[in-house]
Order: sequence, then structure tokens, then C-alpha cells
Amino acid sequence: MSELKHWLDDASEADDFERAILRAGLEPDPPQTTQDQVWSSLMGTLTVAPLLAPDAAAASAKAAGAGISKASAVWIAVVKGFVVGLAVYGATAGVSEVSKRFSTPRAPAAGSVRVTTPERAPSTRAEPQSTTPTPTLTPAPVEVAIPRTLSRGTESTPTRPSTSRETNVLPSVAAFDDSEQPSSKRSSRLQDEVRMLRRAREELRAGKLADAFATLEATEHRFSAPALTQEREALMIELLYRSAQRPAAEERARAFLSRYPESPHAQQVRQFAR
Amino acid sequence: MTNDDLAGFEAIYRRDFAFVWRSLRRLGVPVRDLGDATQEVFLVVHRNFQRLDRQRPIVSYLYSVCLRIASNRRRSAVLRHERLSEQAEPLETSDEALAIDAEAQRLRERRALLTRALDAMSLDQRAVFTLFELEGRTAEEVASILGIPAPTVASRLRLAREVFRRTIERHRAREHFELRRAGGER
Repeated sequence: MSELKHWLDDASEADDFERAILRAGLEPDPPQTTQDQVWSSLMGTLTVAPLLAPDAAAASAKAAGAGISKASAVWIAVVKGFVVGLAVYGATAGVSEVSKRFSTPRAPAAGSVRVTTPERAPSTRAEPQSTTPTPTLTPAPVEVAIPRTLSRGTESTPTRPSTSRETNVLPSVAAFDDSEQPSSKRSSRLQDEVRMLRRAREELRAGKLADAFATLEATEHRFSAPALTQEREALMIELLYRSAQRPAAEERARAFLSRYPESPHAQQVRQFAR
Repeated sequence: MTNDDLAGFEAIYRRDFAFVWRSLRRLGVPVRDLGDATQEVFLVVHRNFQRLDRQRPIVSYLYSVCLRIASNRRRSAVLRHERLSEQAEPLETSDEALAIDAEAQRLRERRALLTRALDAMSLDQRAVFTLFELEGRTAEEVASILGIPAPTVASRLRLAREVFRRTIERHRAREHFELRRAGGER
């Protein structure tokens, strides 16, 4: 095999024109800025995932309710649950589709998704075992530390207990904005998917459970071959958990873990599988 | 993923980004999709990071992911009735495309011709051809990267070269014909 000569070598059998054609394909490497942009976008994508552990979700709900009397909170919760429930019905265009979806083996929640007031998770839940000496790695959101130089912005969640290594960092602008691709007006599919999942996550954080559900549904319908299946599924698990669909969330989390045991989101999802 | 893993992942990203970018481009991913496709490759690497066989060269794994992603994109482009190479620019960078001097124009035409030749190859042939002729790898390295026997590399390279030559010959014939026609019209 060693007798094979590269055609770009002058001593090879290729003629000058063939060599010139090949030489035209020796492009320069992409600039450093491109590498940084893709990295930034990649980190943004990796942090789309579920990001509240049950404890954090409970804390979030708790903080949101601070300052309101218990009785008022119950009433508000009931009304909110009702309104949100109605919105889900409208947003998802029919319960039947939802029922169908959730009655599949992969989706353990039989029947329609009932979005109600977020339940509080037991705040005394034991922390999962961490194999790393850094305690903040668990049960924090998907642990992706963004190099400072590449972090374009931070997403802070006021109701969330602060951690010393908050890693829920997203680029404030899409690294591959459409305006940066004048050669094509088509927007990037992956970036669209990232945007939609990010939106779903923000809605989830804001307690807009029906909106989050509708967004996740829309994501599933829009992307027939999604690149971020795991992220979407992890968000759905959290949504179910926070919608008082704990058995469904748990079953779905177990399915997730058996399917993607090595997923970077497995650590978070594991907490919903109990 | 632990901090050490993340550091390892970033090291791979920084070291091999250009290789992945070039590989995807040479496997036919259009310029407009390169960012997405590169990101997809590293998403896959990230997901499988803890399961990676550290004994094998990472470049081999990266290239296999590139091949899969390029192949998926090819397939979905076919399903959408798109013609990647005609929608996309030939192998080139966008700033160069803006240049209008004769040299840049010639380079552009040559790249377009190279793109045509590569598009005429099967993906397997294209992988061998680009790794060997453009990436400058030895045949042994190509065999290792692709995880195929050495004789297979040689045979795919031979077939790919034939395709390349045929495309060039067709181009020459067309140019010759047009020159004669232009001469006849004068």
C-alpha cells in the first residue's frame, strides 16, 4: 500500500491540471472566531436540558409563594391550575393526541396530561451520591462549565437556590445567527431546535407549564429527526414532575435512563426516577 | 460530566475542530450547514465521552461521526429533493467568493469542478479520496481512521480516482467543444 502516491506530489501520475484542481480544495482552516462561535453555541445547546432537580423545583415553587398567605396560595393555585389546564387543552389542540402520546410505552402517563399547580417536592430529599469531590456538581443542572471567555451571558433564576458553580449559562445571542449566513435564508434547523427547547425551559422556569408543554409538543412535531432528543425528553420529564404527574415523570425518567444510561443528563433525570 | 471530563472534551474540541470542519466540508456538507454539522459531531462526542475507547485514536471516532452526519444530511437532502452541491457554494470560503479578480475566479471554477467530481463519488470513495489526496494522510492512516482493511482503501481510492478523472475529462471535453463553437461563430 505504501506504493500509493498522493496525486499532489509532483512525481505522481496526475497531470498538472488535475493537481491544480486538487490544490484548489486545500482550503484554509476556519478562523478562530468560528471555532469560538460553535463552541459557544454547543455549550448553549448542552445547557438546554432539564435543569431543575426536584429539590430545586420545590425550592422554586416555595420561593414563588413566599409572602403569600397559605390560604391565598391555595386559592391562587387552584385557579391557576384551572386556567393552565384550559390553556393546555387549547394549546395542544385536543386531548386525544396527548392521550395517544402518553399512552405509548415510552410515555408512561396514561390519559391526558393534567397540568396543575406545581407540587412541592420534599425538601429534605437526600442528595444523590456524587463520584466527584466537588459537591456542587450534584444535583446541579447539566454540569457544563463555560469558559469565561466564551460565556456570552448568564441566565439567572431568582427563585432558584444559588449554587457556587451556577452553570446554567447560555449565549445571549445565537452563535449562528441567520444574519451571519448570508448565503442562505434558511435558518439553521439545529439552532431553531435549540431556540425552541430553550423557550420551553424558560417557560418551565417561569411556571408557565402549559406553554412549556405546547412548546415541547411543537418541537416534537416540527423536527422529525431531532438532534436534541435527550434534551427534549429530559425537559418533558421535569415538566411532568412539576405538573404533579410524578408517577409519569418517574416512569419516563426510568425509560430515559435505560435508553440513555450514559447521557450527560442522566444525573439530573435520575432524581426524577425515584 | 466531571470537570476533568469537560476539560478533556474541550481539549479534543480545540485540537480537532478544524479537522472535523474540513472533513464535513469535504464530505459534501454545504458551507451554510457547516456550523450546525460541526456542532452535531461534538454533541455526539459529548454524549459518548465517557464511553470513548481511549486506546483508539480519537480522530477515527470523530471521522466516523462526520461520515454518519454527512450521510444523514445527504439522505435528507435527497428526500427534500435538494441538490446540495448546486445550492451550496463550491469548496470555498465566503470572503474568497467576493473576490472578482481573475485568479480568484479561476480558483472558484476549479473548486466547483472539484466539488462536482467529489459529488460524483460514493460517500465511501469520497472519504478515502479526500483523506488521502486532500488531507494528505497515508493509506495506512486512512485504513486506521476508517477502520477498513488496507486493500479496501486501495480499491476505493482507485475507483474514486477514476471518477475524478472522468469528471475532469468531461469538463475538458466541454471546454474544448465551447471553444470550437466560439471559434466557429466568429
